Formats: sequence, structure tokens, C-alpha cells
Amino acid sequence: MFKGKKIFGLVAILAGSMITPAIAQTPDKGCIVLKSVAETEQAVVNAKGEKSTKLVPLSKVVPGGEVIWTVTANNICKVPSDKVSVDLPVPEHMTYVASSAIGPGADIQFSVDGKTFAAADALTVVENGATRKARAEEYRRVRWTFKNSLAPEAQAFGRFRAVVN
Amino acid sequence: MKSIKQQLRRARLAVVALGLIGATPSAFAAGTDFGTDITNTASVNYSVSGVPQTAINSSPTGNSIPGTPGVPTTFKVDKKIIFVAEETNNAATVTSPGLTQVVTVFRVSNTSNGAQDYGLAADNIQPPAVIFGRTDDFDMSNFTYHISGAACSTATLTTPTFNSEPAVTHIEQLGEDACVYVFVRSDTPVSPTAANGLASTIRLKVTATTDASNGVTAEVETLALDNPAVVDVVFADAGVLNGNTVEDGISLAFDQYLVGTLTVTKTAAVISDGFSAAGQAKAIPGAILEYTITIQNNGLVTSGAALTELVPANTTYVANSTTLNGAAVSDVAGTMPYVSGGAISSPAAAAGVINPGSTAAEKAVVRFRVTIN
Repeated sequence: MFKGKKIFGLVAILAGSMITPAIAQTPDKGCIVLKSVAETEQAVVNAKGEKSTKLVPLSKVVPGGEVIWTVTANNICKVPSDKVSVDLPVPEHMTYVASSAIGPGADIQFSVDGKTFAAADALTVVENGATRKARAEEYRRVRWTFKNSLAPEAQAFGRFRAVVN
Repeated sequence: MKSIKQQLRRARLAVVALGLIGATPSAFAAGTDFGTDITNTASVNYSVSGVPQTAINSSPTGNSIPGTPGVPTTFKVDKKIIFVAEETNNAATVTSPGLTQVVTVFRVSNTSNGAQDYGLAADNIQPPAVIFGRTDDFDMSNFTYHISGAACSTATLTTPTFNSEPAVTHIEQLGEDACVYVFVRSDTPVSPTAANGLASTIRLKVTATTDASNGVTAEVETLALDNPAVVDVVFADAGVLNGNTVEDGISLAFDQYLVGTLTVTKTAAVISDGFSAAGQAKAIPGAILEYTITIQNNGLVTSGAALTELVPANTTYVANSTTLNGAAVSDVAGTMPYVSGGAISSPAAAAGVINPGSTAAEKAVVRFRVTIN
């Protein structure tokens, strides 16, 4: 029995390898460490009385509360990563906050269905047979496509705000 | 160096501006249920040396293993407690001395993001300002709480009738965006503590309590940082009226008991003066005046209602001119019968019984005539 299972597992791995044959690194480690965190913004006043905000771990999150999602990609290889494209969904029970997506050096695109991506100005939806511009609250996925290669040890990040419904 | 600094400053300003734009859309009044897990996983596609790599999914601490599901970044939606207790009809409840189990009605509405228990406790603690224009004169006792079986809508405030609902200690799991009517019953002290026209203001204190504590254990706001794995508690109840404190998980509402009152009005009309045309009689010596005394009951049905009335000075009673609700009342000791006090009643009611109400069928009307000396 055990033998049989192991063989099956091996076959599965081989099948997986055949689908994506070009693996530059060892199969168990890629070139990018991808991290996604949910944080909240906190107002702070420094010794000079200047007000600013900083990101802190989530405090209580209730309906209407705003959460800042940040995804970071770190290149841990000794070679650059190219065509880096990061996707982060707008989670269920949350609504994307208009114009809140940022990502230095990235083209930012949105999707309402998870399949078709376009810039905010170009994204459309079909409603009752008519095509109209998608509204920010309809975005379900954000994609950052980084224009430049991610150098070894470099970090890229994308961020957006969303409100708990 | 300077230009980089400037750029940084510009970037920071941009972030602040974005924060200001952030609107708060709300699909539902109370929002996503507390306890709901919000999860999110990012993914990255990339190439190395022109060769596409297997996508990597994110984890909260960083994942670099391709082709695995990653670990979703997750937090639980916390509990936002919003509720309000209200008096329903903006009027006092009529009682009478010694009357027990007198019913007042409140509504408790839950707009928290999930079902919530509420403890109920009534007492004689007073609001910061008098209600219904009456000061508090006496205390009610033996408060009991009953949840109405009547339908409740948060949109429309009604005052349902007590229908022998059983006594309870708390409201069990009041649903999101739902409300219930709560009957508070209490006993009126005997006379003279409770007397005609005196009022008692009572308070209903509704406290958000933890589930399965039978209304005993108050919810406590979580003061520490969010624990993404558990449901924390945030108080968001308003507190603008009646000495309520904002965001304390308590809502106070006040109602009033009023010992039934009789209002008495007395009018006089000149019937004839012996000279003027009908309807134009003047109050000159020798003219006949008719007094009309109307007694209206604004409280509960009475027993033993009696009227004592004097014949005004400088007038002479017209013998056998007294009527009650249009029926003749015999003179007593040769004068107006109510001089020595006599029972009055609503038409068709037993002696001493005045039914509450303002119609002719409920008011007692006494008339008698005098001659101006």
C-alpha cells in the first residue's frame, strides 16, 4: 500500500514538472519571496507636533474599517527576475477604495472578473447589454506589472486600500 | 539630494491625498458579520533569463515555494456593537394608586454586525432632564421584562399591546438589523404616595451582554491590538440623548407613569335677562345663568367619582334646575344637590364611574341654574 502511494505521488510530481518544464531553480524554491500583509493606518504626531500616518498591525476591524493590503516581492536569486507581475485580489467582504492602488515602477491594472485586466480608465463592464466604465467598487483584483527587472536582493511592492463591507 | 527629498515629499503627499479620497461604501446597514474570515493570497508571475517560472503564492511571512497554495493572509471581522433602546409612544402610561403590573413599552434595535444578547434592567434612576414636562414624584417597584410577540420593524415605531408574554431576564440573540418590543411592568405605590396627577419616571438600561450569559455578563471592549484570529469587540453605540454615553455598550431609555387625572371645566352662559332677544341675554340682576361643569377622565376608569360645588355668591339657585348628563338630579335640603357632594358618572355608567375619554359618551356633565341677585 505505502509503495503504491509513493509511486502515485512521484507520478504527480512528474506530471507537474511536465506542465512547467523550465524551472531555473530547485523545484522547492523560487526566486521571489512573496509576502502579503493586512495593516491599518494610524495617525501619529511627532515631537515637533507634525502629524503623519504610519502603517501598524491591524487594530479592530469592523464594517466600514479600512485595511491596507501590501504585497512585497523580494528577489532572492543571484540573477534578476523579469516580467514580474503580482496579482492581489480584493478579498470577499471588502470593497476597493477608489484610486488607492500604488506600486512604484509598476503599471497597475484592475479586473472585475479575475480574467480581463485593464487600466482604471480602460476597464469596462457590460451591464444590461451596454458597455460602461467599471466602477472602483467593482474591482475584484489588482495587478502590478513591474516595468523593470527585479534585481537580486531588490524588493518590489504594491499596495491598495479596501474597506470592510 | 535635494531633488530626491522633494520627490519623497511629493510621494508622501500623494499617499495622504489617496487616504482622503477613501470613501466608505456600505452594502448593508450592519455590514459583514463578525467572525467572518477575510482572506487574501497574492500571486506573482515572473521570468528568469527569459524562462517563465512557476507562479508563487504569498504568505503573511513570505513564501518562495512555487506551485504551492501559499498561506492566505487572514483576519476575522470584529464585532461592532451598535444598538438603541427607545420609548415608543412619547407619552406617559396611565396608572392609578396601588395598581400592579402596569405596562410600559420600549423598543430595542440591534444594528451590530451580527446577533447580540442584551441584558434588561429597569430602575427609578432619573434622566438629566424631565420628560413629558413632569417631574418625578414617586418610585415604581417590582420591574419585570417581557418580549412582545408583535412584529418589530426598525423603520416604524409602534406601541404593541401586552399579550401575557412571559417574563424574561434578557433579549436572547437579537438578530442583525432586527428589533424587539420590550414590555416593562411595574407596581404603583398606594395613595397618597401615588395620587392624582403625580408621575413616576423610570429608566430601562439595556446592556450588550455576551452570548449564553443570560444577560448577566456585559460585553467588554477589546482594548488591546487586534487579534486577527479572534472576534474582538468594538462599541459603536451612540449616546446623544437621556444621559447616554457614547460607545459604552449601554443604552438608556426613559418612560413615565402618570396617575390618572380628571380635568374639570366650568362655563357659564346667560339664558335670559327678561328684556333682550333670545341669544342676546346680558348678565344683569334678575338674569338666569346656567353653569356647565364638564369632567373628563384622562386616566383609568374611576370609581367613587364625586363632585362638590357651591352656588356662587350673589346668585340664587333656581330650584330643581340641576342635571347630570341631561337627567334631572333632585335638590338636597332645598338647594343644589352637589353643595353637599354627590356622585357623578359618565352617561349610562354606574354612579362614581367615569370612563376615560373625551367623547360625550365618556364625559360627565353637570348643569345647574342661578339667578343673579
